[in-house]
Amino acid sequence: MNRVTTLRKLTAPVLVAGLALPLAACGGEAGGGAEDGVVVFGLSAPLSGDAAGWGSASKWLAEKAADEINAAGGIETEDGSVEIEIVIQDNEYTAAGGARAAQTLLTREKVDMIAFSVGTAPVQALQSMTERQKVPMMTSAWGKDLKGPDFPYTFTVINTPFEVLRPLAEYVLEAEGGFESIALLGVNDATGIQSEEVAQEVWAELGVEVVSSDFYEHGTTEFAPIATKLLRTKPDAIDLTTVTPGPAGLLLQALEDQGWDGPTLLSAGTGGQALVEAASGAAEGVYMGLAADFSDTNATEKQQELQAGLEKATGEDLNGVTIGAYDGVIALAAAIEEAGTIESDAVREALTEITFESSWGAAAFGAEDVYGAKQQILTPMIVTQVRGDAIVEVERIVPAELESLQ
Amino acid sequence: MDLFVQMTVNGLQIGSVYILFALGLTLIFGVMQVVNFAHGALFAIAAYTAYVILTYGADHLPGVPAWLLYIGSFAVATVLLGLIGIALYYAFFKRFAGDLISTLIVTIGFALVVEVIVRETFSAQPKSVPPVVEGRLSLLGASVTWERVVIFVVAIAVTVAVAAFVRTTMTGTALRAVTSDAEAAALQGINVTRIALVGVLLATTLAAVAGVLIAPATVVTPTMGFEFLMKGFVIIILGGLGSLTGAIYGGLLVGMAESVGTQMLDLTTATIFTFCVVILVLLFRPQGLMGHAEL
Amino acid sequence: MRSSEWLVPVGVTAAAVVIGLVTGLGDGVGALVVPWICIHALLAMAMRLVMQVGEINLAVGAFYGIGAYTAAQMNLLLEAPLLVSVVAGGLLAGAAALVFGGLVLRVSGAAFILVSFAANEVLRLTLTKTEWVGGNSGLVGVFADPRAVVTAMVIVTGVVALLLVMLERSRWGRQFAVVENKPLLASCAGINPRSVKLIALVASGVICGVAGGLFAHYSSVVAPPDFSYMISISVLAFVMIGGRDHLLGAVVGAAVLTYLTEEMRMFGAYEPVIYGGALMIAMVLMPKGLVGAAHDVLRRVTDSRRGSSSDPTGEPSPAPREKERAS
Repeated sequence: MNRVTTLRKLTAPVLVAGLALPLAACGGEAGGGAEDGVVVFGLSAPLSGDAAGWGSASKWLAEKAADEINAAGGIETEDGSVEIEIVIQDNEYTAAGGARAAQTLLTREKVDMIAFSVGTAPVQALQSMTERQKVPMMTSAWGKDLKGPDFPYTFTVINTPFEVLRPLAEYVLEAEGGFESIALLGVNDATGIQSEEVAQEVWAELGVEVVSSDFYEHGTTEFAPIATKLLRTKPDAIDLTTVTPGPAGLLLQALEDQGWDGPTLLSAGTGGQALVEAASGAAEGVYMGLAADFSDTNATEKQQELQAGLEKATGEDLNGVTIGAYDGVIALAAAIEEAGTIESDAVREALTEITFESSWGAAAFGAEDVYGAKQQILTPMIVTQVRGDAIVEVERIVPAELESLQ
Repeated sequence: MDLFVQMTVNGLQIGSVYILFALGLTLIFGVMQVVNFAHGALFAIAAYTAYVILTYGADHLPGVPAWLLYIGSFAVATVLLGLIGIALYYAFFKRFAGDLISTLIVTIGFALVVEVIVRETFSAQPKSVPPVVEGRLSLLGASVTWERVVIFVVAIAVTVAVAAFVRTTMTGTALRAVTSDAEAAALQGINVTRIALVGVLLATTLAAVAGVLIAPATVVTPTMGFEFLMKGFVIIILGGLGSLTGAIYGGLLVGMAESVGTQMLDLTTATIFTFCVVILVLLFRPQGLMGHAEL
Repeated sequence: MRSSEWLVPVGVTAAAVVIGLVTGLGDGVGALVVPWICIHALLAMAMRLVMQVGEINLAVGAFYGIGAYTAAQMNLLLEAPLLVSVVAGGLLAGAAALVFGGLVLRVSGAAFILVSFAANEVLRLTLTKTEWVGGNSGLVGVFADPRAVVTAMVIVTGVVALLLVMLERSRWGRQFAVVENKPLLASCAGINPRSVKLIALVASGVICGVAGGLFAHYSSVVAPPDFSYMISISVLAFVMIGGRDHLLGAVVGAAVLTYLTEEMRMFGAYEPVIYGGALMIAMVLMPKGLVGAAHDVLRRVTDSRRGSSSDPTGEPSPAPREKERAS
């Protein structure tokens, strides 16, 4: 009996604290507007579940960018300088979570702009509100149906498979001395399916036959059968498109166990270091399109600094997606400064015109020929390859449109 | 022919781990009528224990062989999970004895808390555990790592040991009695509380062995417990809730179904198909393949 | 039944609806939480309805999803008005519950829990593979006037709550109690437990479907991950923390946890810890839930005022079938 009484004594304060803390915390509400010298940038990213690492990294990176700008005196506007405040909401990586995050950000926190958002489904839910309320939104989500003249306030701040896949495929074909067939595998979610469509298109255009195209479920724990199936069609090469680093590592091990040593790509995968870690040796020679190693000297100084700081603060590595959280804040700040106001139409207009100093160096929004509007960030694309424990840059492609701006 | 052998090898290597995982799950259900959502969390804790010990050993104790660290991991994980199991038993299982819903809720709460603690401690990045045994074995044109062979052998050995324990020892017999009818067992003079505790400890030991065993062959992530839990549930429905023999057959069946289904259908359809088979089995044999509570 | 007995439930519901409308259509925190409280309360009441016949249905997410997808397609393809879409969602979800229950209700207890869990996963995975409902991306662009949606949510929740109170006090409600507590006795009395369970399951399915239809119009996006078994788990938590012995418990549990979750959003990654911890602690400290605990406290206070604990006529009896859980 005694034990129970003690337990109750202990748990009651815990419960009270658990209930009281949030109530106390809700006192400090954010509110925007250049009048009070603050502009509020919202982030919608997963903070729980499988993709939680992306959310914590995005939060750190966006706050880092905001700190840098605030420390330098904030953003100059016609009404004086404004400081940036970052608010993040968990979108749970689902549409419902995205809708809740969107409502909280726009209705309750009254953010002025969205500086970064992660996940196709939650971003679609967010977009349905930002476009209606004319709020500029920076996102890592992509797909042709997210951008264009119908969605003028949406901007993608990372390279996507549409940009990367063709140069990557061309490079690999040449480096490996040509091959005739390829097997594709992707994860069964919105991003995975769209990426695999792009991959099918690109490989077919380059004259490589796609012999199989498959998807696996999030939460798969055993990859030997999948490896067996991939190898059954006897492809010359394998493209794991969007497979996330953990599963990709296990799959590469299973492929190696079953005798695979052909060219392998992770064309739309991010997180090179995580892949190397998960594959324990089996990732040797894998090509990647979106997984630059930001700790390497090939990365810009800024990116190396971000990688070091992020790793120290959160244990996560900087990757091709989360880097967008930093660039999203920088892009919005540059656009506000150019427009001289935080009024959304002026900022949106400015975003399509400016050239700004991103983590990659000079960058701009463009690719009107692909999307029908200037909504895609233009930065260098980096083809990397796993060699030993390192992610080595083997090719760097600067978009012609970006070069012409400089 | 190669494909057939490879499918069988794949199925067996998957199934053996599933069996270990499902045994613990079905045991707790059999003894205490608890649908234990915490089992996955315990399994994940064991896998992280192996990760910590094996990486620490690789970095700081160059003289100590990996297999010794591996055995040490089993010991540490077993003790750690045993303590957690005792805490869970006195805090919740004993209090809510026989109340399916309350135990379901508290074990879900426990799993949620563990997942976040693990993520905050180790980050969400998948961690890879240094290999204990290297190299691979070629068998009739199929290929499998020695690591997987070791896992398979240990899993089978542990399964046999558990079966022998419940069939031949006094405690095991009492455990079976409690599983089939707790009230009658109490009337026979069996100390149900003590036996339930033995059941819990046996289940946490199985979770510890399964988690440590699988760690070097996979990547450990904070959500790995939930992923195995889903498989575990399917297996124990198939085999019959509370049935140990059922968990063994169910584990093998699901392992083979995953292996063969992946080749014949696409992967998602294979998963849907597995779930449908489970529903059908329940409809025509509500007691599961091996019948209810048949140890 | 005397008409005076209806004063309390009708009054409470009317007051709740008015408060819900005022805060839900304002622009404070209420606008943010009221819609979700309505959705969660509907699901929690649906979950509890099946619990009243002694089963736990983990396929709540599936019926919710069927309602959401149906209503979304009605809106997108036929441009049907809000209420028509929502009712269609409810009916289709009810039909699905009828088929599911007809097949599966031959099992009960833990087996039913797990089979309903499996059924939920089958539906979710099938949705990801079904192109004409958008596959994994789901359906995007459902639109209705947000104020109309919120108004509909609050009123529908009130109406459903009243209907359930009526059901509980009717002959059916008493049969539910018998089927849950004394299934054998029910059979002897000529009540077929399976039919009674089926009726409860279908009614529950309709409510879930309606909730799904409202959700689809509110979030404007529906996608498979929104309808996983985790929905059922959270809803079960609403019922248990609110108190399973009272209809009010389902609503209170949904309201309190939804509000707290919204407040905890700023805790981000730690939210599940607080949530999971609260689940464990609440189950230990308040096994009868918030409403049960409040009821006990209230009774103790009134008893001590009267200076006696045995006043059978003064006992308000919102829970005639209350039974001892802890064995």
